[in-house]
Amino acid sequence: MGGCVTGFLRERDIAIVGYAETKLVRRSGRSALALAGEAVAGLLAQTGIERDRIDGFATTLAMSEAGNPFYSNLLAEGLGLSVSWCQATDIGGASAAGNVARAAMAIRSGMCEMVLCLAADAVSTQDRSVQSGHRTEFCDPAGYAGPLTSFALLSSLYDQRWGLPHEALAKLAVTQRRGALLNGNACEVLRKPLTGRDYLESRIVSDPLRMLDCVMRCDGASAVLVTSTRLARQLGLRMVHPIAYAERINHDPRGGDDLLASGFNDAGPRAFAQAGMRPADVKMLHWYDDFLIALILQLEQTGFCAPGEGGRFVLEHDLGHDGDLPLNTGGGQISAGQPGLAGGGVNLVECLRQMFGDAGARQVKDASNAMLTGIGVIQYARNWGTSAVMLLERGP
Amino acid sequence: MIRPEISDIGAPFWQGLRERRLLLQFDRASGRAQFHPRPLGLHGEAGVEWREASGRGTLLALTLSRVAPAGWDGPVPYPLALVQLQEGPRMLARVNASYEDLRAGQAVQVDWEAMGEGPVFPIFKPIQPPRRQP
Repeated sequence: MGGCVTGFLRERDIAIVGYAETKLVRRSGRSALALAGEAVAGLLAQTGIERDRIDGFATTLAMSEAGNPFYSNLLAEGLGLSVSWCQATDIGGASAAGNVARAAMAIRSGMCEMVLCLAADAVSTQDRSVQSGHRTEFCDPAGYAGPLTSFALLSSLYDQRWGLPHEALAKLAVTQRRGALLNGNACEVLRKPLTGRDYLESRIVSDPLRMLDCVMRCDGASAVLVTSTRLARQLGLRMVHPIAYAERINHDPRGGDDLLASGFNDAGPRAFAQAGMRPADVKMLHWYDDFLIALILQLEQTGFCAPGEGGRFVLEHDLGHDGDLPLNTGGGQISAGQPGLAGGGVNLVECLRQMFGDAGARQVKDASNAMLTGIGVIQYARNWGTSAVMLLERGP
Repeated sequence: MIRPEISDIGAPFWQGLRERRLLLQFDRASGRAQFHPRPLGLHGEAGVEWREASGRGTLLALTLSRVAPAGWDGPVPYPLALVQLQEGPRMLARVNASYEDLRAGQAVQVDWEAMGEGPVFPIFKPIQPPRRQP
C-alpha cells in the first residue's frame, strides 16, 4: 500500500484564511445553491476578500442536486466565479477535508492561488441521489436499509470481539450534545439537553444500534478559503495551516482483512509521520461522526489507544470544550445535524472556528493544533471506503 | 420484494439463482472466490470463471433490522447478517430464523425454499446439528 509519507504540507506554505457556514436546518425548503450563496457571502464578508480574487473552486457533491452532470461548473456560474481550476470531489464525507488538500495541490502547482472550498447540500428537502452498482443489485434486495445497516453489523462485530462500550458511547452522545447546546448553528430539533440514560434508552433501530447512535440529515452549507501563505501574509489575513494530509480509498480491496479495520489504520499513522507528531501532541479532535461507534474505531485506528480500548479511553478523558481533549465542540454532526454530502464541512468549520479563537462560550483553551477526519462511502460487506486525516496548526 | 437491477457483470449470478445454484466468481489461477461480482479478478490477472459454491457459511455479524429499504414489502423486523461463505467471500443476506436463536459463528446454508421463485437475493438458514444415531 503506497502513499505519501514525506508530506506536501509540512512547509506551511498553504493557509486557510477564513470560514463560514449557514445554520443547519431540517427540511429548510431551500436549495443547495441558495445555501451556498449564503455561506459564500459570509466568507467574503469575514475575510474582506473580493470575489474576483477567487481563482480556484472545489466543491463537494450534493444529494439534492445529484444527477446534474455539470454541478461544479453551474455552481461556479451561480456564484459568479470565474476560475482557472474547478472540481467536484466525490469521496463522500471525506470531501470537505479532501478539498482543502486538493486546493493545496492546485495552488502549489500554480493552477490558482485563492481557492473557495464549498460544501452545500439540501438533502433533507430533496434527495435526488440514485445509487447504482452493488447497492442496488446486491444490497437493497438483501434488505440493506442504508448506512445504519452497515454500522449495526460493525457494532455487532465489535460487540463480539471487545464488548460494546455502552457507557462510553453514552458519554460521547452527552458530551457532543452539550456542544450543540452552545452552538446556534446546530439544528434546533437537536438543541435539547440529553442524559446518558436518554441515550441508553433510545429506540433500537437495528440491533445493537440505537437511534441516538445515528446522525440526522439536514440542510446546510459551509465554505472555507484556501490560499498560499505568501498571499495570505501579503493581504494581512489570519491563518491556519494544514500541515499533513493522508487519505485511503478502498483500503482492503480483496476483503481479506479484519472487517473492523479501515483506512484510518493507514491514513492516521501516515498523517502523523508527515507532521512529525504523535496522537499525544494533538490538542483537539474534529472527527467525522456519522455514527458514534465510528469515533471509537477512529481512536483505536489512528493510534490514540489500542484496539478494544476506545471505550476506556473515552471514559478516562474529558472530551468537552473545557476538557483535556476536546472533541467535536459544536456538537459534531451527531448533535448538530448532517447536511448530506456537505457533512464533513460541519467538522471542518468548527475546527477552524476554534483555531481562529472565534468559538465564544465553547472556546477551547489551547486550539493551537487540531486533527480533522473524514469518512466516505460504505463498501460491500466491509467497513467504510474512504478515510481521510488532516492535521492543522494555527499560524503565527 | 425489491426487484434487483441486474447488471451485465452480475447476470450469471442471477441466472444461477433461477436454477437454484449459488454461483461465485473464482480466480482461474488460484481458485480464490470473490463476491460481489467484478469485471476483473481481485486476486490476480488470470481472469475469473463462474462456478457453483457450496451454499454454506457461518454468521460473521448479525442484526435485527427494524428498518428496511424503500420499496420493501416483506415483514419487518428481519434478521440480517454478514455470512462468511465457506469459499471465502462475505455476503450480506437475510437469515430465515428467529433472531433470538441466532449466534455469531453459527453455521448456515442457503435456504432455497424461503426464496420461492427467483430472482430473489439468497436467504440463509441455520444448519441443524446432525441427529445422533440411536
